[in-house]
Amino acid sequence: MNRRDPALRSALAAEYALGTLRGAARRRFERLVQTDAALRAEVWRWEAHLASLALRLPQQQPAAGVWAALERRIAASRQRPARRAEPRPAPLWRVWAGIAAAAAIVALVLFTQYRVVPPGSAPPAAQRAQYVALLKLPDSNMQWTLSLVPARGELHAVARGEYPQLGAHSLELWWISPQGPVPIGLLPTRGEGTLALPKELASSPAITLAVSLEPPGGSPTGKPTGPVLTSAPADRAG
Amino acid sequence: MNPTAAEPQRLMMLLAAVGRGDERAFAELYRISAGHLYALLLRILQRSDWAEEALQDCFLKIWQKAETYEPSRGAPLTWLLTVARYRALDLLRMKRPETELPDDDGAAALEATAAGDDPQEGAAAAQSSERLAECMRRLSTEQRRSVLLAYFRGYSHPELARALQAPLGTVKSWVRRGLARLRECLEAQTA
Repeated sequence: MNRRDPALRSALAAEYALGTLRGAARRRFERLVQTDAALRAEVWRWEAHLASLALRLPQQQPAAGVWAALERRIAASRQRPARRAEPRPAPLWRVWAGIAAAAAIVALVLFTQYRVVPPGSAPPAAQRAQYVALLKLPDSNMQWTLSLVPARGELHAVARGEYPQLGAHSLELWWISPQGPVPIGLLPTRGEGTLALPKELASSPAITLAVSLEPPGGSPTGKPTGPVLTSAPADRAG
Repeated sequence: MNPTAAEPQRLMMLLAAVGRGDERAFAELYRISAGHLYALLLRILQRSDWAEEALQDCFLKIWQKAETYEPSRGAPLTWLLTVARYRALDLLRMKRPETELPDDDGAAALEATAAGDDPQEGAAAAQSSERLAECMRRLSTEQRRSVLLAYFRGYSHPELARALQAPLGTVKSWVRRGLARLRECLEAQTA
């Protein structure tokens, strides 16, 4: 298949999700999807579109015996060595959920603290509030010192060290907003760089940042597609 | 409060807990979502014994793989339904030789499903479901039937050709064009 023709890519993703792509063609497509994040996202889009058809079916309750049988099968599968015993990296979305939960707690704490401050006595410097953050990548000496001025929408990044696993990938910086990750931009891997901050970040009581590994040029979907390598809060510096 | 309401936030939390091995969360997830999955499995497999077997397989997989769900795959219930549908297709391929197609013209009933019945979920899903139904209505009758039979019966191209009594090439183009029009319509509406 011509891997760049968007209409053909979408057509194959659609027939894969519908199930009419079969046999060797289906297996070829499955292999392709493993290394092509944008194609994978297209399959997911189609799966979601088509699942809307199933949502229109009235619910049907299965017989009670199904649950009992299921419990037996799960108990039986537990006799084997536990699949949860070996430590493995937390899956991507759970990392995000964890970060978001942590950010929510910080926000809550700050919110309660602010409430005890009498109205009108808010710090006058809020307009120019500066934040700093230090992001370090595990298994390497790569790190960034970030300084942020949310009111001006500016972020300055100074890169140090090296990330040997980088290859042709890009490292993308995200703001973990209450609604989920919001892209800020690609981090420089050497030297310095300036990135623009999303406007909504200025009104956020607490700032959490994260870095993910992405295809060259950054996530094609606007949401993280690769592993989250690190995350850290930005601290008020002035 | 509707006890069977499959709200995305709730389901997402339950999936996260199931990923950590939380059995109570798993029971709750089953209670909330099994009715949706079973309805789809029954529709595709047409036999309650097969549908029950498939439902067990799905939830066993969900128990083992809950952590592979990520929100970019769509709403949690959407993902669960996708897991169920792929399982049903696999079962069909194993259990239904191509010569043993159910001898029904289910297409008309399926169209009623796609056009009628209110979606059984929250507002966001209702919206996307409504949008899809609107776009399905804009397909030609043949295109719509082909897509619905492939989705709800798991028919392959040759099976569709037999069910719709049309040449294979014609059926393939109904499916292909139907999906392309569906995409154009869905994208025009979201733009």
